[in-house]
Amino acid sequence: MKKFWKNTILSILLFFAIMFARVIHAESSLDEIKERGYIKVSTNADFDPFEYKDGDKIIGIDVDIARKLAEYMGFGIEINDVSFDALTLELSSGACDFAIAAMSYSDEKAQSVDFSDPYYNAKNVVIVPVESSIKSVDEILDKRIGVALGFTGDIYCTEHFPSADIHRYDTASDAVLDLLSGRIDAVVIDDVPARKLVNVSDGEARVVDGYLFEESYRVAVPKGEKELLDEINTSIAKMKTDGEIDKIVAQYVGVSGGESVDLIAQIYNNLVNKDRYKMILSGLATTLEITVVALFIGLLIGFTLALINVSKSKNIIMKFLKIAANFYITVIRGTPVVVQIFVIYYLIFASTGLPKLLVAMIAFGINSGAYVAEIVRGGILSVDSGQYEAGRSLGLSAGTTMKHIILPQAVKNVLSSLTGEFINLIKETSVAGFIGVMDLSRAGNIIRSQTYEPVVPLMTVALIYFVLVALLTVVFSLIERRMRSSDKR
Amino acid sequence: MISVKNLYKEFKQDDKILYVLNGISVDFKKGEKVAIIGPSGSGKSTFLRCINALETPTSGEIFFKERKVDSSSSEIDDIRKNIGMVFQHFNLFPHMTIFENITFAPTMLKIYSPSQAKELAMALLEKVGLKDKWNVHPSRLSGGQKQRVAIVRSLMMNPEVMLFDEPTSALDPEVVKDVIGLMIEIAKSGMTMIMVTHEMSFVRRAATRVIFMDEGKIIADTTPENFFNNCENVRISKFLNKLI
Repeated sequence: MKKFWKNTILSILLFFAIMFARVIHAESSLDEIKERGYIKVSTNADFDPFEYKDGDKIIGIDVDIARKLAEYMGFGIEINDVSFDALTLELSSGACDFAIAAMSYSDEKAQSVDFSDPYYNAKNVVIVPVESSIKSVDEILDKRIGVALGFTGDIYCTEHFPSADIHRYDTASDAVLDLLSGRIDAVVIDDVPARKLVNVSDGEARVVDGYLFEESYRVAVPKGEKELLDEINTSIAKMKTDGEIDKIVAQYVGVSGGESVDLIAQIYNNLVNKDRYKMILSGLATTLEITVVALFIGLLIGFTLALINVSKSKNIIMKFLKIAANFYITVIRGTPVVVQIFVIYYLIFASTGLPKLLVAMIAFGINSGAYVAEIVRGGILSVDSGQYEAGRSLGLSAGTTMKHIILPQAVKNVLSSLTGEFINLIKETSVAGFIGVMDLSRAGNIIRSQTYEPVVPLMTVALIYFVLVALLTVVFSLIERRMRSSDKR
Repeated sequence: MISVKNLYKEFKQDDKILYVLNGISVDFKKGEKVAIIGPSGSGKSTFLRCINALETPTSGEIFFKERKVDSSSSEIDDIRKNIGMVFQHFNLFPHMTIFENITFAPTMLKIYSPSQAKELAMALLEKVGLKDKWNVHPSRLSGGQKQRVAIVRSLMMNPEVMLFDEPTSALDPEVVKDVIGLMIEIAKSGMTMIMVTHEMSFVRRAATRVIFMDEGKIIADTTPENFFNNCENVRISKFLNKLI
């Protein structure tokens, strides 16, 4: 179903992560689990009905299978939600013992993880608009085909339909949305989510008879953990023979996503039903928490680095600090924040076991620090050198002059840039979801993946960000105006 | 009081090296009012700024009451407390009121208690006719008022010597006399003063010694009478002729 992300940068990360993980991972996983008493499992709760969120709970076919596996093996379980791209990193860094997320075998993946025996066979089918002339699955080979990025449908169509125009979406429901608006002719996706998508399309889409290909879902374990893999395979075999897996699947297939059509009903379904607004609210709280803490870390780092950078000291330690500060600023400003948060979470803090939320705060703080440093440095340089000379000529120390004479003027000069950085930070925290932090954006995405209705969750999230930013802009401009007018008294 | 020994200063500008000071040796005694004059680019401002280590000389030494003036030594802040400096562009602190501008350093450095500082500050402001401006920010003052406040800020530290770096050059002609008047009063109080200036009337009235600099060297070091009346030096007479 899904395939690991092909992004070059991530591949490099992956390489380092594996190197790193090998160094810190001396003990075998099974021994560790026995010591700990429970299994750590990672999934990507964005794929209803295999793994998705109901409120704060992670549920789904895979999740129930994972629970059963743990039960059969005699352990407790802890389930974590991360982005699909991050699953390999979770495994190789030792953050989890196994990953279960409707994954199927591929040679490429098998280089970084080991796969269990299959626990479920899924068929990939074709969804078309109800009035479409397409009658059989073979007819799509030169059409505009929508797939979920990285899913096996994507790989299959890329390989087998070279003359097709393939459109890749983040989720299958996004693809169906484009299908219904006529931008594409067909969507290729696993049969279970396909049935659900057709259900919620309100009679506008149908599944074409037959299927393109079949695939087997497997559990992924860290490379080389043979004991653990054997245990899992034994338990899977047992679950198959005693009918546990069929029971679990039957429980979830046929669960309807909701039939809302008009806006009021959509709002009800996306925000009120199953207390989904609570997810949005807790996401908003998380976004604010991350932003505020990251802001303070960023200011602390930023001011420190700016002071190091403008220092005229010829001391060897200061010279070294200056080089280090410049390196830090260049690297942080020269790389995307998504990559930074991955590096910080999976490489730097991999073995510390710090909570994701804290890591996200630190990561965004580190990111913001580099920008604040440059803003503050610019502010300090914008203050006339005569101010420094006047302070020093009165016998004030360099530190006192900086603190009481230069910095107050520098900060005033760059206040609008600093508040701009704060506002940027709020929006940038939306990538915290990549390491599984349930922030505002991710809350919206999760609701979308549950209801298959993009409009209300997306607009709600956008509106909240907008109101937040607009309010802060007003507050900051008031503060700024007050600070400026104080000079003219 | 101040002893300058063999001062050299070079600046790198683009690929060229500018020789700004070319071996200055001179002593200043307590109570002297020294006017340093000379054409622009003669190095007089640079020389003045070396005295309180705002510039670091390339070679040579300066001693203030037997203590070496060195910008990298830990003593420098203590030495600077005793050397007041008045700048061409005033350099008042724009984010502070006039009162804060003149009391910040003396209270910060514990020269006066806050109440003592307040008393002295108000007395000095009254003396320069700016008592009613104590609670405004510098942006509300005229150039002449700003420079008087800057001089008061220096005086508040109770320095043993005051340096003036072209204090009237940035002022409108009609307010120059206010600042000159204040400087003459300070001179009368017995303060040791070293000033870089183009105000010849002030030099005639208040200076006890004139140093003429050109191309980074001291060309003449004499009394004002001698300087204005018996100038045999070609460069000095050329300079003076230009002024008139």
